[in-house]
Amino acid sequence: MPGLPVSALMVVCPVTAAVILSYRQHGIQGVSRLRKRSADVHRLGSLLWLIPAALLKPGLFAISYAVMLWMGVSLPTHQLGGAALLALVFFLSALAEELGWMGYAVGQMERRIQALGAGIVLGLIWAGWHIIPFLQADRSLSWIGWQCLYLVSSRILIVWIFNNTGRSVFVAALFHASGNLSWQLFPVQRSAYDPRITGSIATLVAILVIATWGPRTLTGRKESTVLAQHSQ
Amino acid sequence: MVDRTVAVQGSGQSNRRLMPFFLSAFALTLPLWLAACFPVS
Repeated sequence: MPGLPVSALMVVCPVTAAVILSYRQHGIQGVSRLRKRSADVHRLGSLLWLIPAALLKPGLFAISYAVMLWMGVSLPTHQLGGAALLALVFFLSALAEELGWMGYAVGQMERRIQALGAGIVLGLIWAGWHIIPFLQADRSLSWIGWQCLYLVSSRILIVWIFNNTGRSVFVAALFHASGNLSWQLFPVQRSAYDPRITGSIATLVAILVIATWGPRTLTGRKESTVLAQHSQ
Repeated sequence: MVDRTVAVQGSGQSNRRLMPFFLSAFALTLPLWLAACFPVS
């Protein structure tokens, strides 16, 4: 991937950690349960949730593009070449990450600090995990700060999608990948991407989600019904 | 009271499982960060 540092390979680390700990706790059955979460699209109750899972992030980036045009920023035109291959690569890498973050960790966090708390804390950890690659890519501290805001807001949105789709890791990975693909395709190869704009829009959307679905589960339902799906 | 006990026990179990997960994920990532900082020519 042009411009991406060696540390981009770190996407396999969350799933590796989850596999090791699942094996230590539950043996090969634990690993098998985790593996099955990579194709758990059957958990999805309503297909309507595939619409925000696949299109919300492209929409956020399209709005960012429109806002930047409105602000008078000179933007290059879109180049969509190689999008299919990028989509596949981003989905597989997102799946590796989400098997760890959502398939292993988030359920335990939600039991303790509820859905919004889990989204914020996991989002901060996730953002911290990205800081060294950002520094290696010579990003400014301001850019990193705004990008961390984008990542924390995105993690709240991932928890929202996850909890409303029967806690499907597959759908969470789809949402994650659609964001990475939109970012990579932002003209040209994300060179014009401004995390101040996209981070602010993502935060507004996350606040809207919290206000609409409630902070406890981000589904409008009780914790007991949402968390019960985690152990299935 | 019973619910509270269960909740506290659950939190302890969560911590025992979460801390090793996050530490492992960061520990596994560390060599990649170092490899990027100090590339071998």
